[in-house]
Amino acid sequence: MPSRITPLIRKEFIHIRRDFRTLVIVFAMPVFMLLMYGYAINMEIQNIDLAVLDHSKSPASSELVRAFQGSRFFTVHYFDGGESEVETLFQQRAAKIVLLIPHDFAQALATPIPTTVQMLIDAGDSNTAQSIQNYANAVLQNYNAERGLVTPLDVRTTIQYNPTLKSSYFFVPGLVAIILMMISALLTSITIAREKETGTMEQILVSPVRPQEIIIGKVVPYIFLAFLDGVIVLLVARFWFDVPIVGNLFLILAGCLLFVFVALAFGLLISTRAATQQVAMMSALMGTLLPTIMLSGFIFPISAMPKPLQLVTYLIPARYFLPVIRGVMLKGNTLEHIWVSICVLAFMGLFFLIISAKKFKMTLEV
Amino acid sequence: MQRILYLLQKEFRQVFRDRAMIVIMFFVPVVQTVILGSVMTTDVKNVKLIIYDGDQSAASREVCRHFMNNPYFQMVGYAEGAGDLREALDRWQAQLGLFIKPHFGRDLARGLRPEIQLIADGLDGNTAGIALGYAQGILSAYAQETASVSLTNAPVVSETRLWYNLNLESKHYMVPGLIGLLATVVTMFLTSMGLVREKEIGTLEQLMVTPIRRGELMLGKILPFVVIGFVEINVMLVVAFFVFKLHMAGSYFLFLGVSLLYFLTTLGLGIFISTLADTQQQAMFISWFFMIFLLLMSGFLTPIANMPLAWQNVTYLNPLRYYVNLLREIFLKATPLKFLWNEIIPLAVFGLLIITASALKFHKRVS
Repeated sequence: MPSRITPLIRKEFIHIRRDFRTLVIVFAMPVFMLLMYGYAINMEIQNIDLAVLDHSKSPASSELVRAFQGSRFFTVHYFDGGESEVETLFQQRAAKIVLLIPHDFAQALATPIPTTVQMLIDAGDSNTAQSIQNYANAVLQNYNAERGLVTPLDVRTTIQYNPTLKSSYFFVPGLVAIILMMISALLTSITIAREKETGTMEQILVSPVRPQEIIIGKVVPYIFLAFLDGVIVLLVARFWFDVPIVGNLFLILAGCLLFVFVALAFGLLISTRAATQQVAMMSALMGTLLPTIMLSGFIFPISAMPKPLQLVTYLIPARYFLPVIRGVMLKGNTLEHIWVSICVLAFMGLFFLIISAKKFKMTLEV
Repeated sequence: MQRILYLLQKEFRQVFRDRAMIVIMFFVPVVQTVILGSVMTTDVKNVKLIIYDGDQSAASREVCRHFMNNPYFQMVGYAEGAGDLREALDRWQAQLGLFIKPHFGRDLARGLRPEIQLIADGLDGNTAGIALGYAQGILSAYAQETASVSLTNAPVVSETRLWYNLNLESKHYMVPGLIGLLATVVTMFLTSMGLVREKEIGTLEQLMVTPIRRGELMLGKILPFVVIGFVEINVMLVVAFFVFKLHMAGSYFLFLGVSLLYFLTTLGLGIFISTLADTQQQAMFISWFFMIFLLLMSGFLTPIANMPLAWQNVTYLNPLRYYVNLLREIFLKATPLKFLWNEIIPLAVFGLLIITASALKFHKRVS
């Protein structure tokens, strides 16, 4: 590395160490996000309050209730009263699901006609309601099977890559994308805007340093920091949240590097347009961080979005990076599986870089 | 009284003179409600399905047809074999595989309980769990239709009814939460920024030397943002109605009442932040931190009951937790006041504490 660049890099590191806000973004935000997506955003439903209105009060109905008590998902509470009671139970939040056993349950069980019990679910939270419905039906099926009932089909399910359906398997590796994007795009755009704002950019420009060298000196520290944070998140994922790394570690790191390149190029593009730090920060947040969180499939499945928004997601780099990191890490994908995403990312990075280089030259000449 | 009216007049003028302010206050929340309301959906639909039909009989085709005429699944194609099906999951081309073995139809007709396999990509655990539930439901419905096995005794079946949200759309849950979130952003940010700006340009000191009392000054500063906050939440109600076709099931006045209680908290926090920050930029940054805590621990995105127990306990310190809960209860379930005291009392206590403490801190700071 030419000796002129090294002092520039050192200068940038000194800036970083002095700036409280940068330190917060580099160190505190990733921790916050790890806690948030590791613990607070959790889709695994547990401890569902189930209210039983048992009008049959027979040994047969108790046996059915025992099936629910045996499930680790439900906490069973008995209540008296009829169907008019259900609304109150939901409004008092005493239960999420009400199991209504009719008074002729025991007699109906003895007949060859299927016996119906009612399940009423508070579906305000649709997602939880769906899971509750599934769990309750599974309990019912087990109960039927234990009574020696043979279904005409033998349905077997296999769940691959994440057998216990843990949320952390999905969110924590995805977090690498968010953090790389945040540090690369947000910080580079702020730091260049700051030099412009304080006028030190012009001072550097009149020195014998070439513009390319300035840019390299600017971005190298952030590549380093972003990469460091990415690795930290991967370590936490592996050793704290027990997310397995099935695929090739080098491929993961190479993918991260490529994504850092795309994000930096995007950050440079913002900085060529933004004159002040505040504008840079706002446009970086609006232009990169929010879309990356919202529209990349990081939390919300793209297939459930309205069609026009689905089209917008094709413009979001993280949309291509997420399958790479999740795929290699958890599915053991190899280059052969993910080369399309890699190519799109590389193309996006080059595209941003060329545009920002053009813009940068122009702003310097004017 | 007269003096407060003058102050209010001044504040409103100051707010509305700034074009950017008007955009931030009204345009941004509308756009955010529309976009976030559409994006933040945990609905499970169009799950990509691949089928291996090793039987090619009338029965197996009938099973496939059950899956194809279903909005939850989007058929991406037929696999050539088990390896091919696995490959489709590896390549992200499918999320669920249905594997039908040869002789499925023959075995079914003979009552031999043929095996049928569902293979799910479990990475997105939420989607996988719900999709598997649907698939099992479809298969058992099919099984009941074609039950050729003579049943010794009949099964217990469930008749499920979903209350408050018949079509299970997540927007019913998300949009009321969003109102709480955006109301926080607007009132807390604007109060802190407004106060800090006066500090920055030095006009706060000018106000201090006038005969206006401190209490009047505070009131004059806060009231406009209360009004703006109320306008804001009403704008969002209109958006919820016209864009998302959601209308409030519960009492409108109860909604306004609990919102007022919540504004005590956000305005208090806004004042508190203004005593910590010297520049608007700092105020913005500190507000972000409060925002992250409030959002994170509110149960806005996923139910609090799913969190680890220690985390659940911390959420009791979060006023937004109570407000989001109240909004959802009133909006969706028309829960009457008598069942809501568990939320309203903490909300009121937090609001009064926070606003009193910040007022005292502000007082000390300026005198």
